[in-house]
Amino acid sequence: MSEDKLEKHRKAEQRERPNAFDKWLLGNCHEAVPHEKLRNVTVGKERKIERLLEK
Amino acid sequence: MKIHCLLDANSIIKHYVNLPGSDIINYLFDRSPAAVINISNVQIAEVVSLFYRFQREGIISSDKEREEFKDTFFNDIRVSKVTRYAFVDEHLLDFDVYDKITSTPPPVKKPILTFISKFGGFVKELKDIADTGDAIMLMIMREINFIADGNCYLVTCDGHVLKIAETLKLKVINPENTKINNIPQCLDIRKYRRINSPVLKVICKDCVTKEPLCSTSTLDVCEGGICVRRHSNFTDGRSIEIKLSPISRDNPTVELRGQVIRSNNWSNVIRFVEPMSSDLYSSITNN
Repeated sequence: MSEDKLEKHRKAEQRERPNAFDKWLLGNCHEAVPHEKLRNVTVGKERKIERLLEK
Repeated sequence: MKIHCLLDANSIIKHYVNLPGSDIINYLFDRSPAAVINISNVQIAEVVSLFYRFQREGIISSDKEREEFKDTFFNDIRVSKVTRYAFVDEHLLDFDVYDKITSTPPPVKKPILTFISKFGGFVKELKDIADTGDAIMLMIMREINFIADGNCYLVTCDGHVLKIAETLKLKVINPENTKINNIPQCLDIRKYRRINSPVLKVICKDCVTKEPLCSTSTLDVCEGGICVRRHSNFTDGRSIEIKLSPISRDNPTVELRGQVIRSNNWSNVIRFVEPMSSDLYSSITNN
């Protein structure tokens, strides 16, 4: 199946290039919160964010 | 079947902030039975720098809030809600992408005409051309498209990137002009029929360690996955082996593999690695 091919490819990549980022991720997301809380933080500031994202 | 979606930074940010197109991005993250969210490692840097920019522009007010954005995003990568796709040297050799960026004119900004007072007239203002990050994303998307036999979508709102992707024959989703009703069928939860069955018994073990995880029961079943009563062992991203059987007896038993894709206070949603075959489907519905 196609997804298997991609997953195999990705695993081969990871074997060839073991990544410090993945190790870092394991123990360093202490401030993660529910997504809804994040969305509430920016309520009313959507236009400002859209302008930031505009190219 | 999994459908690989490669998101750019401006699309993935819509999962953390409510913006036009957030409904489509949230659907791909939380509801689509098939979508696998990919992001290039370069775009990860762009997303994180956006969080820092939010703080600089006063959109978020403190280091703590910025860390919450950053760590929530990183946690989504850690639990495989977002899959990191590494940009490597081999991608640099995809010269077609450079060609197409050069030969494809960027689209016109809206409003189409911008008044230029100095010259006393109107000119067409073009959108910025695709930048280095976009080129890298397109190179990775070309590879995914090749390896996944076209079962993939590039998700972006960038007008120039969308035009280039079309010329490269890549399938695209622009979340800003797509409605849930128009989402490609392969990504749509409604393509799977819900099974009108009684509550099923679910026994699970970890795919890797084979350690038994729990017994629970279904709240909802479709060909692409199940929604079960919440259990603390079902952490997002965990791959599990599942045995499904009628609640009153052990036969027939359907064995499947799946992954926990989302959770709330009362339920966990498990997506099957492969949708249930019609034989298995029948064996459950007939009992």
